[in-house]
Amino acid sequence: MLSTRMSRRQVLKVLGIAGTSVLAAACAPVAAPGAPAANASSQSSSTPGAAASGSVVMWAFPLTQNDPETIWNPLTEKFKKDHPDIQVEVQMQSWDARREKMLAAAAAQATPDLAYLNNDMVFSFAQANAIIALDDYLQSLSPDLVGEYPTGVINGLKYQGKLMMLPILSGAVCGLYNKDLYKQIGLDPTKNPQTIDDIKTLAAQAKAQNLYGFAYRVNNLESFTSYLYGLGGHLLSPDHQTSLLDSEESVATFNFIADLFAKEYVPKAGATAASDAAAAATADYFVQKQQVATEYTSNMSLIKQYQQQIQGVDLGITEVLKAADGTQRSTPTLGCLGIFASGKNKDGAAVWLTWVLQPENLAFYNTEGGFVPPTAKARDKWNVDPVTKEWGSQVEHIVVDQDIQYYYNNNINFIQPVLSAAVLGQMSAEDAAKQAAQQMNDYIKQNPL
Amino acid sequence: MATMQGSVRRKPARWRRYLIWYLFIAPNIILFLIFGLLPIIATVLISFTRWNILGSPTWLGLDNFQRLSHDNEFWTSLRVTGVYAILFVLPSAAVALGQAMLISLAGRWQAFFRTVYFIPVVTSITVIAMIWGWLFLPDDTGPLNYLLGAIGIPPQSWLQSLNQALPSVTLVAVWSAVGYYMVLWISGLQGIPQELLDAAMVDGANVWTRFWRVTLPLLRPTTMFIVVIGTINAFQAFTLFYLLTGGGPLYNTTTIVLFIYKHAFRLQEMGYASAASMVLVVITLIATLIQRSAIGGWSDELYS
Repeated sequence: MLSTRMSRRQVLKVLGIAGTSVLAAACAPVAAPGAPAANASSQSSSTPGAAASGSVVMWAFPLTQNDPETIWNPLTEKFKKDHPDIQVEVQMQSWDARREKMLAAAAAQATPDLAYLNNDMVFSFAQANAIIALDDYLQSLSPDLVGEYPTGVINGLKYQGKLMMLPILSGAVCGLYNKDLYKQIGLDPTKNPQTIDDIKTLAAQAKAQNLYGFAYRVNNLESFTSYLYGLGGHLLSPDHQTSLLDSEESVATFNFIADLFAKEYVPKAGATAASDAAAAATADYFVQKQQVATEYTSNMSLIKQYQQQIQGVDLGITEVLKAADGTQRSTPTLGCLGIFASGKNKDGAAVWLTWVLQPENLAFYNTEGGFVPPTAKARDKWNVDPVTKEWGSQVEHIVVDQDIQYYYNNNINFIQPVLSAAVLGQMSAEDAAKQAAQQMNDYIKQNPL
Repeated sequence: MATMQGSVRRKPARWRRYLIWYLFIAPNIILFLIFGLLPIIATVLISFTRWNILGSPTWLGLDNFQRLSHDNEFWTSLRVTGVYAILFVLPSAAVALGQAMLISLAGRWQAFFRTVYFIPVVTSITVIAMIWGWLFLPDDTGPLNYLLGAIGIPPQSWLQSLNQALPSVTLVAVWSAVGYYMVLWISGLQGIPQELLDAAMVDGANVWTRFWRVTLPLLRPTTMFIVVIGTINAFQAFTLFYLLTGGGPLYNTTTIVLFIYKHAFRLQEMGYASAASMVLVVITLIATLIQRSAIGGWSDELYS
């Protein structure tokens, strides 16, 4: 009978052979992370993009219930008529964990040709050579396009003087307010709160009527920065080396927010750190219960959704908050398009990118998608209702600087836990601000740019 | 001599005899090497570097481990994980055993109750988190608070309370996992010979004595499996905490895996997160060895 026993030496021999062969395969030469792929197509002609052809793959994220039907099929079919040699495939991805997915794809050099990116990704992606500069393509394919964007926005999308992505949508943090509730609270519904003091008045008067002036979610960085800017503060020093979360303005912001919860001026559900539960609970107060007079957001699709859900209610838009010196500054929502270094068809991607960002197509994308076209020319063609148009006018207050370009999204990891503790009365607002600043400074020290 | 030599059949080379066995185990070994061992080796190496996943790693030596030793959030997450493991494993195992024993008495309703208790195990964790998140709403309109209000208890903060957040999430975790352990206990109970229990009954042992002296010792392999697997699962707790509390309030529900996730994917500190992962591996290994020794020793004591 065949013996089935193997000695220890034999087992080790088998494992060694199998392991060595796997390691040998795994150690096959690949490009270092961040380096452009060895066989990536680069600008192949003296006029970049001029001879583009072939297929282009783009990653997009849903703005509506059915983006392929409402947005991308019409656009790609129209594009095909203008550029029959280029076939564009738009692949929808989920919003969940998209930054992590994008990072993993870039690290593995398994990216599409281009994708919807955000402005705060400029530095990290550009520094790692994961995305390419657009200047040469824009000069060749659409020299006037960059001039249509606000200078403040364009400067914030540059890395070492080169433009790395261009916005396809924008949004400012504004409030959608229920004018009927404003009347009930005793406020003039034609005048929306414009300063922090106005916000305090709204909150106190709403409380007196057993209502809420607005909701607040501690895990929402946009809400935090709205108040921070309204109080004249910043997240980072101009050289982006120091966190300003312990500045006087920031401590005032922490105090202001903690006070909102302490006085029950906002629904308690927003104090929880989990995003879905908090968002659902606080939106419920605005839509279903109609106990919250103002819902702050930069997401226009939510505005559209709320307009449909709250039928028969007169809704208005609040402006971006004014600081004491009169300046208005909004955290931007800037969805951009960028071309990956490891994409297979950069020329084709550039042609598609510049075509989509033409005013007519940009207006169509934002009309259907529910956001604001980032250029004035596109906004002229933007076909939306008056409330939404009013919201769109606020994008002129968008500023992209060191606060937004560096470490922006990292701030929430340090702000949110301590802010949540402060609003729940588990630590003082001052201690919360100091701890957030210290942790952010430690992070900057550990991760210098 | 020549006749003897000529009559001896030559055996095939050893490697040929075992070739078929190598071929059967090769896919498993290769998959383990690619998706198991290589990532572990990579994690060990990355733990000595600073790497933001996009650029090139920078060698740091033991700096990440030194940083961990001074990081209050890391120690808090270890404490939270340890407390959670105790609060999760023992009640899950005990409740599941109770359910399994009751089901064994349910006669023709066994299949029905097994299915009902197993439903949470196969329900999406996201759905579970959303429903329980709604149940735990902190104000008067939260369903749990509404029920408490009906019996005169004031509304509780639940997931927003420093003291209640961890037990609340643990309750959800136990509720969702107990069906799985119940099935394991049922399998273990079915392996106990009925004659032993009958013999014990004949000898005058009451229900409790039969359970403690006969059933439980014979369930030792199942007990060890459940406790070890339960502990490993507890040390890997992430999804419920991420969805229900995000790690708050004030890191009181930040498990070690949530800590690792935050540093790896939100803060892009892969090296630091890898170092924390290495510490988690060592802790899990030590805990498993302790449990093996303890459960083995307990069983020997019962037999002595």
